[in-house]
Amino acid sequence: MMKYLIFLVLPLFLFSCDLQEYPAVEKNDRPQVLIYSGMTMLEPLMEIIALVEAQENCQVKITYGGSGHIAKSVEVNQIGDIFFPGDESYINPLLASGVVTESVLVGYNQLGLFVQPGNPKNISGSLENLLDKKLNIVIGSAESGSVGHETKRILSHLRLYSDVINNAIYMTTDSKGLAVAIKNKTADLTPNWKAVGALQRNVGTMEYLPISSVHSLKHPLVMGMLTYSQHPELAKKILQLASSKPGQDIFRKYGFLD
Amino acid sequence: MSYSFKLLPKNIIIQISVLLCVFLMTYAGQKIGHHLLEQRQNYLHSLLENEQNKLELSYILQEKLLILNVKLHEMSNAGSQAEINHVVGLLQGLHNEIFEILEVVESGGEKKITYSVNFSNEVEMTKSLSYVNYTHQQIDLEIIELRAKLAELHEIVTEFKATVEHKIVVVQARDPLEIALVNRKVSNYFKGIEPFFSRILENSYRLHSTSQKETERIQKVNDTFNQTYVRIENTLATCVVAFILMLGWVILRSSRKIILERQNYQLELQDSNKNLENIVNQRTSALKKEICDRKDAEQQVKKHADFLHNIIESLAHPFYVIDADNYEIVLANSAAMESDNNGSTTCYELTHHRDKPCDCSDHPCPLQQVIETRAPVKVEHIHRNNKGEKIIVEVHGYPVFDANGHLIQMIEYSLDITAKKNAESALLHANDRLEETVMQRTKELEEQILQRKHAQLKLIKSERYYRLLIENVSDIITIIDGDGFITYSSPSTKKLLGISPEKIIGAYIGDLVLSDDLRHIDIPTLHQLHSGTTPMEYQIKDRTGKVHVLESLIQKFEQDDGTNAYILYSRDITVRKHSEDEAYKLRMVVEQSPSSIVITDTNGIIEYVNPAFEEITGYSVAEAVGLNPRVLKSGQTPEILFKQLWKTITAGKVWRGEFINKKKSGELYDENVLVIPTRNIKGEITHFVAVKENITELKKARKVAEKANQAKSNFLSHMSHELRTPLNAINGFSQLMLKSKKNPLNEKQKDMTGQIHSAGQHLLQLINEILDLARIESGEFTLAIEALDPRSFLDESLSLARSLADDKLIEITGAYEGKTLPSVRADLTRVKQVLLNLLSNAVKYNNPQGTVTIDVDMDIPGFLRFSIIDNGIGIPEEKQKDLFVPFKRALDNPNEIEGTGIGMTITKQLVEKMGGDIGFDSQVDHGSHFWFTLPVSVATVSVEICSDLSEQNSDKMIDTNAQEKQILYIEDNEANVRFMQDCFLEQEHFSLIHAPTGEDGVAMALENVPDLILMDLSLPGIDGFQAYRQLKADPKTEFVPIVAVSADAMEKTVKRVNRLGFSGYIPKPVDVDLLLKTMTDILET
Repeated sequence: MMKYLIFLVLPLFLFSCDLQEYPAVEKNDRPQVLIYSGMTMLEPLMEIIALVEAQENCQVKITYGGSGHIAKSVEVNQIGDIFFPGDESYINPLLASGVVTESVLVGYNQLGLFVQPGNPKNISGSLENLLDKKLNIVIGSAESGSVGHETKRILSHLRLYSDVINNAIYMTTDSKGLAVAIKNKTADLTPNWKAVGALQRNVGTMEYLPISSVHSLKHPLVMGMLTYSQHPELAKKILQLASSKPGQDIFRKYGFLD
Repeated sequence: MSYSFKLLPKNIIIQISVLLCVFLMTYAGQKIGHHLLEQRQNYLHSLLENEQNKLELSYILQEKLLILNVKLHEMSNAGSQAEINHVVGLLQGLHNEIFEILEVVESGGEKKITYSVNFSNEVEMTKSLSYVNYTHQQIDLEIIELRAKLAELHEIVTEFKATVEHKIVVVQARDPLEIALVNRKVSNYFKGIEPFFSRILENSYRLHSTSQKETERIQKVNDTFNQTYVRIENTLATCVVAFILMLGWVILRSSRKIILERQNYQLELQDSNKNLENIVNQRTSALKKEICDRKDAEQQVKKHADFLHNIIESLAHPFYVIDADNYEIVLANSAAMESDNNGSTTCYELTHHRDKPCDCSDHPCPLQQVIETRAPVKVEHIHRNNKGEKIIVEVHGYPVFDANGHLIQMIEYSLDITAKKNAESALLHANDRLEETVMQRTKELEEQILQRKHAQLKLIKSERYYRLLIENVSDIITIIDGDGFITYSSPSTKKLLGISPEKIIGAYIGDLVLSDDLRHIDIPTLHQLHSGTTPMEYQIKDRTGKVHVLESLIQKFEQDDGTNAYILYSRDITVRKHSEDEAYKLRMVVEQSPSSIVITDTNGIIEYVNPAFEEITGYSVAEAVGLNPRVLKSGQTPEILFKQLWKTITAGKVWRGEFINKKKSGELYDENVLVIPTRNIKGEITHFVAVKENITELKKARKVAEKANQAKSNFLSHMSHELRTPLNAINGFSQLMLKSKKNPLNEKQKDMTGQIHSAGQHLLQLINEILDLARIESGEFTLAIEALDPRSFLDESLSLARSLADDKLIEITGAYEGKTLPSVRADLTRVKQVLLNLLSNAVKYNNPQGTVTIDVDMDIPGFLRFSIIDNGIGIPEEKQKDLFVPFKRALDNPNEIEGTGIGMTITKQLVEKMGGDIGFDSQVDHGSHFWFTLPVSVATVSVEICSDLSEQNSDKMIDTNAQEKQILYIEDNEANVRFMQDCFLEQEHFSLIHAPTGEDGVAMALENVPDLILMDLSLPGIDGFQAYRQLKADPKTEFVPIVAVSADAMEKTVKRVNRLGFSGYIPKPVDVDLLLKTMTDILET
């Protein structure tokens, strides 16, 4: 009798289905939040997002890269909810123009030098080493990312920038590219954000050399909500979490609050 | 059977009807399902086509991006403006096309693609690709990133175009140096673009890859659907055929079944009739035989019954058969019926004349016992004989069971045992009486023994109690006779005095006492004086000679012989006396303390105040005791302080703080208060003790001192600025006059101007040093102590000192080379100042071609000692003591060698502030050995940079071929502006523009970006720091070097300048050489 029933029910079932339904991989009607993030802060941000997604029924997407790039992306695309660059100089113009409506301080970024683990070439913390022809130097592009921007600021102040560019074997768009250069042993020395060395994927693959605090300043890390936000309540919750004790613990773990 | 026959045809018809209906419905369903599945299949086909179009679009996007990259390369190699314009046009076209593709991929739409169908691009084919984005509500990160990167690329191309245009101009000018430079610039630019392009291509690959995956997924969905579709169609067809076959089979099977069943029923009926006849015949013959057998059995039973009746009747004792269910007598012999049966039918009516069965307590029923035990029983009953007399009978009961083992009856017979029972009873009674008499006597004897034992135990216990009491009492109990001789002393004598009691028995009591007054008083008198509540106190020595103070009471008692004896109760009060003395001393301390002391209970009620409290507050002891200290509250101490105080002391902690309190007279005063909770032996807080000090005068003095210090600080700040401003003009203009090439001075004027310049420099140095000294003494001076590698400042100081030493041909050597030196804790700037001062002194007070040596040793643990040894003129012994005194110079004629006379004073103070020490040994004509120490640091030294950077850069010179550099000077002071303008008139490679305020300066810099900015810090409107921030915040001027020029040489200002990232700091008065060198160094790089 089961067979009879199947044949009776089949046409009814087909009638009840939408024949023009798109065969999606999974049903997803959760609200989507878009975050523009600098490369260096990606890991702590992922942890914070995991907490948010666990608390709220939402999906968070991140577009990341150099801070200059994500700033341009906000300008061009004019969508998204949160802007999180690696240096406050990228967020200040957006705050002034009203594109970023509110912001929170979540940590600090500071430039340092990175060498191979164990410092086999016995390189000192002097920025003059970036001029050493015997060393393979890779630096960040000032146009793309905050790390390159900060590198240019410091080296220009010391009047070394153009010589260092000449000595660099290539330039990367962001801090990840610099970390990869050290990990792949393409570079002997790179200037990069101090927190990059504290990221889980980089621990043990590079060694940090501090630059004098006279030259390398602490740059506030500011997270801001965009005026284009489709889900301002969710964006605010992410901002609140990032600046709360649990959020700050996460940023401290990744070296953004030392 | 008849029921089955009726329903069978009906069931067949229903089954056939249902099957026909199902068949029709299945067929209709199959047709409809086929139509719907076909529609779904068509939709999936269209989706697949859609995704293939997207895939093609993403592929074209990749292709366009690669072409874009190639074109950018072409632009870098362009040889003319026309080529650039051509490439730019192509790039723009590509850019637009890429944006269009992105738009279609993101939002859907149609894109016309033109393909070349031959190599020379002469024949083209146009194809239209349309795409519908079914997931447009989802955020596509790749498109977002690609759009942003393409926008950035557009800007890069614009900048790159300008670079390439500049290259073409340079190449046309054919200057090989410039060509190399511009080629390097183009190459550098490409270094920046390459990774950028890689990222764009990564995005496009990801987009392509995502499209490919989606296409494959849709293809897979489509394939799966097609397979399912075919399977469903086949199954449906099979099912329809199966239904038809099933229908025929059901009809055939049902008809055949009906015929077969009818045949079977007929055969079964015939067999059944035959069997029934056989059974009736067999049953009839069996019944006849059974009747005959029963008749024989009845006759046998009757015979047997008669025999038994006769036997029972012949018995002399009563015999019964009793029904177990109702006590009815079923059978009884004649002996049983001899008594007056009175028509009784039950056993209890017959034997006991009762209307219910016997109870089981004293007259047990044999039937009940037999029922319980299911065994023969024997009981004794009292019955009455036929004369009416009571007799004791022994009743025997035997159970009778049926064939199933059920107890149905009991056989009972009775024996008369009255005579036997009477004899037994008389014997037992006599025995009981005898036993009772014996037991009573035994009990009386046991009670007497027990009473004697209790009396003995009480006596022993009492004796032991009094013995322990005497032995363990801490007081000495002594018994003396009327003449004062000891007859007994308790064992405590040994414990307290170390003297065995046996040794003092017989001794005269007066010989043991140290006090003369007591020794000679007779015992009866002592008894009169101290027998009541007034004890006597006296001193006595123990076995070791230590003096004990005893307190005794004396009591008289009469002995057995009628004479009087005396008991002396003595207590050792040595410790108590000592405590009383100590307490007296402490009371005196509290009473005479200049601080007021208040003791309160745990509720804050005052229990004690000392005289100082009375003096300070005006409240007498009598007034204060019983009050709460809040009587002193003025209302000017914050309430929170009292809450903190109460919370702290109730938690058992000490509280310290200050109050503004009010005296009894209403006058306010300041108090420094320390409140301590005191505890008893159990650790419970019992009291609070407050020690209070009147600090009214001290606070007034402190305020005056702070005010004075602030005034001094303000004075220093003003002095610094006011003295430097006129000196700026004096030193600057005199330097310009000496250096002027347009208006050169004659020798005499040069000499005079040189004197002015030298005096100005001397005055400037003097002002700097006086301000330094004043800052150190005022405490405004701060040090940035950090862990430093000694080499970092030793090498730099040595290098600077060499330039001084070269003029006098003095050789300076560092003997510390090759030594391993630990880090020291010091302020980098100040330690260099110390070293330079000592080194410059060693050079100044040296002979031509002399030597100066710097050495470092670790002779003092925890310190590093720095030595500066010269073989110069030395210091006379009488002047050595004044070496660190301000304005006292070691020379007889101070004008011989330039100096202010404050340097060594500052040096000493700086070294001491950094935690070190300074000293020297000197001998006239042999030289001096100055040394100072600094504490060694355990911290890791962070490697500093730039220690020799300035040295390296100092060798660099402005390229004479370089273009003229534009300098913006932001300054409000006209004299300073004029000086700077004059200064720049001499310089060919610099042009100076001026802004009088910070706002103007920022506006000018943004309008026409200068090569360098000189910034005064003290400006009207926004100050130099604010202007600096505005300039650094704007991308146009972000990388323009800014040098601070200021008369404010305060340490915190210089630190702030460095912290903010100024490219340099030039103090006023401006040293022209320093200014030019700083600018040259900055602009050179």
